Amino acid sequence: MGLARRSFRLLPLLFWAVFFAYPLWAIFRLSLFPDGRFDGSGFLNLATSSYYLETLGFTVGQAALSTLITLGLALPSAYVFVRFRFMGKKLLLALSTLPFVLPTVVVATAWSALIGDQGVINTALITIFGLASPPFQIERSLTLILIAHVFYNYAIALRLISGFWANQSPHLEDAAQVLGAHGWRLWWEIRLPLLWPAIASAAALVFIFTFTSFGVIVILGGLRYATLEVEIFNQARNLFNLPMAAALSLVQIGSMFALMLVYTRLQKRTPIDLFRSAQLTRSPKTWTERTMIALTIGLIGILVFSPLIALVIRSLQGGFSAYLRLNQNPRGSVLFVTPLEAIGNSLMFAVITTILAVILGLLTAYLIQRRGILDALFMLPLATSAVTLGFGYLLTMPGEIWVIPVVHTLVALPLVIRSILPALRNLPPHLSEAAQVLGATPWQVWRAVDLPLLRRGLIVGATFAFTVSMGEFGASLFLARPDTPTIPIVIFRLLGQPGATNYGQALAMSVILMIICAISFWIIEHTSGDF
Amino acid sequence: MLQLNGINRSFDDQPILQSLDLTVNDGEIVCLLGASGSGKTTLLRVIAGLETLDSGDLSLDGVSIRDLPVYRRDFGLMFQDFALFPHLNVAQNVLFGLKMRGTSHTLQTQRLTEVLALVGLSGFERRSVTELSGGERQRVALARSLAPRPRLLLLDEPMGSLDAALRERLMIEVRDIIKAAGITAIAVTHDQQEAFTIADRIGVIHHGQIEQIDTPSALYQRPKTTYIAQFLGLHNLIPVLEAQDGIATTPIGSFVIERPAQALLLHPDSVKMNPTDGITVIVRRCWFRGDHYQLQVEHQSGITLMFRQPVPLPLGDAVRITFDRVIPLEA
Repeated sequence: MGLARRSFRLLPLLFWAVFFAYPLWAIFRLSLFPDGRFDGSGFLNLATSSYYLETLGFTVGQAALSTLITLGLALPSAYVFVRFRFMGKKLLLALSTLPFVLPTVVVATAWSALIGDQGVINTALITIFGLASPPFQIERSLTLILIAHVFYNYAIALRLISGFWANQSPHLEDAAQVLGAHGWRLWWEIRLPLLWPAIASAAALVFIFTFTSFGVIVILGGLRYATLEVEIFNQARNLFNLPMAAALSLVQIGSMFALMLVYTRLQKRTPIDLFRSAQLTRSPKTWTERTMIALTIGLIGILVFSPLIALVIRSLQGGFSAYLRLNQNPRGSVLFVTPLEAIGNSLMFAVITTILAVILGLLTAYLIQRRGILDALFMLPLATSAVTLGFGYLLTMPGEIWVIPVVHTLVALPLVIRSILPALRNLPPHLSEAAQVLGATPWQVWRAVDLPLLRRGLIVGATFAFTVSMGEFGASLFLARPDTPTIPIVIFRLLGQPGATNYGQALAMSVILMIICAISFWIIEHTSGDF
Repeated sequence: MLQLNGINRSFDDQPILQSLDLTVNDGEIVCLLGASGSGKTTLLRVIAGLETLDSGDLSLDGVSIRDLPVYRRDFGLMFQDFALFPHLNVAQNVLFGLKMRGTSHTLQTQRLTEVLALVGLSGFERRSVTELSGGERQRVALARSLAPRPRLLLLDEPMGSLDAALRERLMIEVRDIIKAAGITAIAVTHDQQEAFTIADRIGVIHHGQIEQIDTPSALYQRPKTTYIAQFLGLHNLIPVLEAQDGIATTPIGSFVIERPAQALLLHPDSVKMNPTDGITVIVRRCWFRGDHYQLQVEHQSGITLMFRQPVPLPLGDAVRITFDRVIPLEA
């Protein structure tokens, strides 16, 4: 029994070493020790090339801009959510988090379906006014990239800030008002300083997400815009300049670790309020307040739902024909398989990922619970971009089809662990001992006590793993073979091809993927209540 | 009969139990009384099999159970927090142990009715344990421990998580239930009232050993050591300055003692006012305690003594007192 248990415990560490540390080590070696000896010339070339500096500048710049816009919208919304009571508030807050589980390809396709050249708005305007070209030409522009980034991160910032805010004592503001503060001074002297920890960690998180943006940039930005992430892919897959890609990856890994360090620091500073009291919500009184609420609802409606609705509408242009043609391969050269087969591939990978991730996540959660220090180790994949991971696999395990579910597992594992760990930590300490004294063997204890109490966490974790696998794009693009694409890859390839049929199929596939993810989202929200 | 011989257990080189011996007779309820950190819970966990021994042996009816895993010992353990399974209802909690042993369904149902009747929770079968009151939870926990007919029942601070009003009543009930079930039991507690109420014998744990084990009244009337007297909250401990030929010299006079002593306990229950005999003391404090007055008096040596009186005395008065029981205490 002892040996079996020990090997159970070693399993997650082994997985981590082989499928995370080893590929990263390969990148490290290729960039710094290309011939077995230290060679910094690759980096020197990188640091002095103007193209590289431009890429880095763009990566940082777009991330900073995205962060600024996201927070600028989320902060007033948080105020509305914390202060006022209005119909459908809870539902709205829950639904606003939907983007969190939506794959980048779906988001990108949805925005292009709304305001792209062939999008709902442009086609409508062309038909109505008989225009020769689309009036809104923001496809392949920074604007569209920023909008998509805000779409992704708005709800995360909103939830972080309003959650923090709601737990602050309402007396602080009352006291300030009694002391004579009002209007902008209340914001400047009281609200912003009090919310600073939440604002800072939300900003760090949004910056991290947008810094590693890949799918949104390649689909919506086209060739003109490249983040580090896109450039790594470009160098490795299109130009076959592996040392260059490795050097870029190392920069990416370094920046991400630094950013994650900042984020964890900021998060620790979020103070725990011992005198926890909740802010009181009230009905709006003035017209200004009603307008604020209306604007917030409108913002969430436009930002979160309009592209998704546009995606569905645009995919149904011409009825269900796009859907019905998913089992056909219109132009044999574009895809080696029909879209329907890609759905099968995705489902298969997702099922394998779910099984792997839940088993490993459970074992890891037990391991972390005993040795807290390992927590950081298993969170590292979260700080490593999917493209970097994909590149590492390309270097170490090229052409292997089974690495796709493995890399999906690695990406999903931190989320799965985070779903199981709280439940595990909340297990009352004496339950398993009580069961043992009552005659339950260790296996019986686990089956009869632990498992039923961890059930919710396991369901949430499994759903996360499934969703991550269905939508994963960056690493899959590196690793999928032409004859075994997944749904996101097929969408990406179809979008890159001209022609209404290709576009229609891309939209139909996106809708299918969106529905799968929305169902997952519903399961997660219903099972965990709060995440 | 449970026997513990020379039990040793350390945590991080810190000895918790030191060559501890204990014998518990069949059908007896033994209470282990000790301050927090005295090792009493560790001892209970060692007996249950949840904690391993460094050395020593424990045996039940002459058979060593030292290497028997916890789930094969057939013991019952009631935890301080009761540790009821939140995902199971009352009946499922109570029957957990029988289910693990593969008892037949008919026997399970029969036993459930019996045990629930014993703890006074008939009709609670389908209730969720999360909806129960503190006292009800305690009884479910007790029923769960009793259902598989354990060879030994262990109770960790059985009243620990209940409020004061409930305690008194439930203490007597718990004792009655255990006696009715005819089970040998060991309870640990830091609360002497609890120990006095539940136990046939009380063992006081100090420095990882059982310093004295006796019936509740013997323990209270004749504590063996200074520590025990203090732990039981007994006042009137005075240091022995010199002991020779059965005579102990103290700051307030000399006393005959039957064994060597570091200190003497002038048992508060035996202090009597006496106009013609005894030592002279000054009344320093006097306060009302409901059914009596508590007096604090001072001897000229500076030593203060406490005793109870049916009537109050004016502060500053000089009175003479005698002691019926002078108990020699070891260090």
